[in-house]
Amino acid sequence: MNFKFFKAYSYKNSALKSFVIFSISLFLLIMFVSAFFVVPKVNELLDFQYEQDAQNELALESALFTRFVVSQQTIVQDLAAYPMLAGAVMLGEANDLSITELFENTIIGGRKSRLVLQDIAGNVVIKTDNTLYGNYAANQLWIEQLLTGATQYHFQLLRQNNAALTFKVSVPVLYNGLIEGVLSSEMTMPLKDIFVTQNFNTNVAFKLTQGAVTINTGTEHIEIHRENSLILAEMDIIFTYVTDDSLIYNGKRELQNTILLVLLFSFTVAFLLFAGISYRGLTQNETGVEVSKGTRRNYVIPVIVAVIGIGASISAFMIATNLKYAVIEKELIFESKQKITTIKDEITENLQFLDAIKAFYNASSYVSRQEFSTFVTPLLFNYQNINSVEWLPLITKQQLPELKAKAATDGFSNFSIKEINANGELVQAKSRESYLPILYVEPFLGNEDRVGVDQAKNDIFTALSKAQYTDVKVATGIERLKTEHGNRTGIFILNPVYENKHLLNKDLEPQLLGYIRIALNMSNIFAHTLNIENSHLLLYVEDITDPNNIEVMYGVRQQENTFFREEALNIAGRSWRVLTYSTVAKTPLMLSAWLVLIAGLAITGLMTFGITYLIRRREIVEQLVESRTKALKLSEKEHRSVVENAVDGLLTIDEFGIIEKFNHAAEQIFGFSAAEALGKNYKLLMPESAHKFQDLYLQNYRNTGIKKQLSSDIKLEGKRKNGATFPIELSVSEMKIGKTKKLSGIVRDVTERVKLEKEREKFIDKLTDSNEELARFAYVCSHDLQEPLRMVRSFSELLQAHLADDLKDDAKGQKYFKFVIDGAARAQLLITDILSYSSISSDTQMLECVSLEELVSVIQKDLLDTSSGIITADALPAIQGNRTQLYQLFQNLISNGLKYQKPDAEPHVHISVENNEQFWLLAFKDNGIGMEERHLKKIFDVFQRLHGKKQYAGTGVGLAICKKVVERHNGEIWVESEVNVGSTFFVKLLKPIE
Amino acid sequence: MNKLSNIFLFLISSFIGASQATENTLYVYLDADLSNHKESSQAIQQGIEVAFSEIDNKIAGFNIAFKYLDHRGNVIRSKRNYQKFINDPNALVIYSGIHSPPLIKNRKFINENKALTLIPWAAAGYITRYPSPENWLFRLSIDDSRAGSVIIDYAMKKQQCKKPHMLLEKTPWGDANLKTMTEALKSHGIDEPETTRFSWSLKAKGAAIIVDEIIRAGSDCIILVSNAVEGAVIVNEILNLPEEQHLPIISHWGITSGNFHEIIPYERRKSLQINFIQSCFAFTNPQQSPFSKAVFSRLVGHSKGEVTKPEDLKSAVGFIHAYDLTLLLIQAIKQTELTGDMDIDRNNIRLALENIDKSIPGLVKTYTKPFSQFNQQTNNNAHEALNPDSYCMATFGKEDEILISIE
Repeated sequence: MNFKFFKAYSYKNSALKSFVIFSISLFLLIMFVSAFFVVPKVNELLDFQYEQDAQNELALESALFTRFVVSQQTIVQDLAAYPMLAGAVMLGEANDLSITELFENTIIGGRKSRLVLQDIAGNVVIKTDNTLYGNYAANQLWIEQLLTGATQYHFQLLRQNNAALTFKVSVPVLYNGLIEGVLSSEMTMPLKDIFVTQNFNTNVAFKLTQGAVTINTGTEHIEIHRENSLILAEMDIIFTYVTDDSLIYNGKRELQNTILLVLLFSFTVAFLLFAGISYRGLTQNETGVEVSKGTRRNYVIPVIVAVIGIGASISAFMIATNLKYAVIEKELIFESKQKITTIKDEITENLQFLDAIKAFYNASSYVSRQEFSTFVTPLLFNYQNINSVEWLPLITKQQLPELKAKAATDGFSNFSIKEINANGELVQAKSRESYLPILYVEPFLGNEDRVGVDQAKNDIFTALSKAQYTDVKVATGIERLKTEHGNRTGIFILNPVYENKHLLNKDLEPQLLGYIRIALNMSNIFAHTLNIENSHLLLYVEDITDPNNIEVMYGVRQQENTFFREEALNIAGRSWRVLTYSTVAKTPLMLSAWLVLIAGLAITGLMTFGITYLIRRREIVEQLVESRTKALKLSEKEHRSVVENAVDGLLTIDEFGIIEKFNHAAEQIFGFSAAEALGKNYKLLMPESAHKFQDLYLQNYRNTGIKKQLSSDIKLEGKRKNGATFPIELSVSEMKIGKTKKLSGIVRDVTERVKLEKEREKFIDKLTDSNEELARFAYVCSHDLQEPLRMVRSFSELLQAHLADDLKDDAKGQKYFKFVIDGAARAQLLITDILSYSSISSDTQMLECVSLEELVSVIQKDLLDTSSGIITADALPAIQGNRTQLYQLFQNLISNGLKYQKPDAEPHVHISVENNEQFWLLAFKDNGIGMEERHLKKIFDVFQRLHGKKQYAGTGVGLAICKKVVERHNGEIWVESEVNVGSTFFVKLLKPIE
Repeated sequence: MNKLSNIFLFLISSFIGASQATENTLYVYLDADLSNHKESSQAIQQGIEVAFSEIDNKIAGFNIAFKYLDHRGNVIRSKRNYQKFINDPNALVIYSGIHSPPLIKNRKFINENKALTLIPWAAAGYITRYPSPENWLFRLSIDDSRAGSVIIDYAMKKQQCKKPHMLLEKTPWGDANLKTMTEALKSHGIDEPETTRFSWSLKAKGAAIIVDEIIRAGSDCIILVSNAVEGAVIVNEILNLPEEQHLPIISHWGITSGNFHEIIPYERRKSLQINFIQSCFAFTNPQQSPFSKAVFSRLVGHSKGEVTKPEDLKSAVGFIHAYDLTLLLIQAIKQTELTGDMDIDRNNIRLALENIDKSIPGLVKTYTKPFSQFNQQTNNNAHEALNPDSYCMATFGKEDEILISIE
């Protein structure tokens, strides 16, 4: 037991050792492959990916830039749709004051507009009076293109001033859908508002080239430049995206580290897994099944595949996630910025309304309710988001009666100043030095109840009143606005109005007249902003001016798992936090990346297991092949030794008779060594006389494929090296190996046998001659002896008769005569017996169907005529045989049974038969005197007698005849006997073969 | 061979014939708004063509052919068209319409380049009052300087307006009408009439504000000076108001110049009272003279099936004026001989137009010395073929035809 454990342990130990060596080698190999193949390849891929990324970024950024341009174009296009512009270009002059107003008062991008209007001849119809950088000479290609409708708009870079870009957007002016002029707008915008990329200023830069003008966002922060460009055909701008290659190097390093880490990690995991599996394998292999040591090496490939696959999957996962996020984030940033700008613009536009009313107040000495209404109402048409406009004059106690009087003329007979008390109820205002009542309100309908409500206690007004002269517009926090569509979120914006005398005389203190207050429907503005261009954004806005009281203005705050961007918006002293959400949630994106990862891992797993499985199979097959080969080699060895040690000569020839194999025995037989015989034609081993026949034989074999005459044990003549011919016995067999046919022959030198055979034949011939002579002699003897004997007997009897009277009293003479006659009679009997015995051997075997029943009945008749006794028999069959001989057999055996009897006994012979498959067994049983054991063998010999002829008559030939007959019938005869009981003679006669 | 040479000779002769025809052809130009106010421009074309067809397009040994240029109402494009006319050595005369502004803005250019201009449709008074005895612009059309008062008189007397609201386009044409109409209103005791101006290319929103303003101002009728494009936009906005706020419109003829009737079809406009000034002839009037019947049948033949009944002729005034004006031109050419040198011939025709020596029966009236030499002080209307007695007020019929109110 201990010994077994030690053996298993040492076996495992050595396997573990080789496994460790293998693992270290594998690890070194991976490191080697990583260093010289994976990492350079990864670098290459990284460069490629980076290039792709840069190209993608470039495409994205340029698309964003194009969108920016298109958005600017939309602004200018909206402006160009003003009817008076069409009129002006049609007339070729700006005869309309409203055009001048439009040109001077339009704000684009937060600045006073810089506009140029040109007619179809390219002549400038009107332009703003500020500095223009563009070239507006007639007959320029771009004007021509715009006028002919070849381009939708013209975008031109003009100059760069530090971090601001000045550009021009020109659009056609249409009348009734047809182009009648061109409106150009020059705009200056901070580059950071144009290129909205988050990492702009740190990692990337942009360069725009149009003709001689180049704009760039500043590249001082970029260490190693990498430029990717594309041409924006519509604008004829080369858009260049500059990235910092030092980032790639850092990135590369990071990624390389990551890859190495991943490799190491994957290797470790794979190693542990592999080790686990192998350990199981080792423990299971205790039974001693041979595990070839080379096997482990085969698993390098699946391990590498697994490592690379896992690495690649993880990388793909990371890249997929990052790329998609990047695109979405960029889109979000751009859209978000755009929305913010739109909101800002919308509000700024509405603020112009305040300016207009303020200008109106400044231009008039007094504004009546009617004038206020007339001025404001049409304006409100254009400013749908302004819910209401109010005028809140600063009224001193002294001015109150005058105010009431004016109100009365306006139809407010009971005008009084009210205020909201602590309980929120509207009550008569308390008397104080000054009031700030809502005096005019438009639209009046629905806002009637607000007239006269004092706002002096409102915090904002309190604050503003205390402040020095100020022209800023101030916004309030969230207000609920009543609209026809229900309550909406809004803000109030108010603007103080001063007497404008101080503008003329700087010494005068500015005198506050009151406030204009507008209610801005922010819900509408936000909603409208969102609805532009089927936006994919969600918007959430909150007022964060007072950190202690953050109020939601619009939208619902989304969950954190969506992409969002936070922007700050400062409007009229309020700070708003604007959160824009992409409607694309993170989860589905993650899902796709996860899918990539899972798919990658699954494929890796499949590949690894696939390869492992294949390798395992190959191994099994190899091992099988090896074991079979071993067995085969062994068997071949055995075969070879059999062949080599065979006594018979073995040789193989091909279809052309060339000897391919020649064994040791063949060498002995023919006297040629194998080296001498191989490669030679086998005719070498034949005498010349047989050559022709052999050629014909092979030719015929080749043509027909029939090995005629040649089969087994053909006797031929062979030729030894010394030229002597000798007899051989040849058996030929055909071998088919693939398509080639071969003949193999077993050769036996039969010189000795032939010699022996000849001798035997000679001997047999001699023996036959001698036998025949003997038979002839016996026949002649017996036949020729019959005649003198008969003469002796007959003449003795004649003589006895002749001398009868003489011998009457001569007893002696009579006795002598009797002896002569008896002797002659016995000699006659003997000769007859010898004659029949010898004739048996010489008789030809005339076989016929002999009925034993008949035979026995004939014998019964013959015998019982002359002697007494009983002969019984079973039912006897008919058998094939010589009738005469069978008669002699049965007659001898039965008569013997009757003859050798005790004197006082009734003789009885019974013949029984036993039917065996192949033979009949006949038994002749008598109740005679029996024989002693020692005599049993002798009785079948010729002339053997157990008793004196006086006791029992006979010649001693009968049983010899029986034996000869049975042998002639291929049978057997024997006897079983007991003295004074009887004997049983058994005869076994073969049944004829069917 | 014989056959071939015959074909060759035929080709040669036809080529020579063709080149001779080209050499002998003089071109009558039309510079009009073929895009935005197509109907009126087509009517003018038909008027010119029908009149010339009566003399088989041949006069004084020359064939007459026509060239139509599109200015789309754009002053600059009109000037370019004129340049083409001036540069064409075979250009006989140029008709111009339907907008006044191109003619107002380019009047000096036209006169200085001696471009003989016939105006069947363009109303601004300024156009024909070029302060020189050598005046190259002749008009057979409504003249604002005198039409204004006709429109105002109709509004005040017939429509019984108490507080008319003048709504005029912001162009020199609108300016001219503002002046004459304000003057005319003074005679009806309105010193400071309510006035609103609008630009070309006015859109629905702007029109809605204007209409709202007019309603708020408490006006009881609208005096409209507008072309068909903007006119349709304004009328559409009026029709968007409740029916009781549909103020009657007394309009200059600009609204008949385009597809006004298609944008505001009869079913929509029937609740609204729109009257506008026209010259006092219409094919739609039940009583037609044999002369006018003959002209109309020629028009039917000429229009190749487009016009079969009077209602089919849109912007009919363009046809009527152009036809009458062309009759005068033909007479003037007949009075002078054509040399083939257009500088000389144009001047001769100009002088002949000022001295037509026989009465020419036309559709609107019979013209007896319709033009004479211009003198700002003494003969201010010298280049006006029509006088206010030929101005009538009209309305659209059920089939968009123009019905002259016969008094």
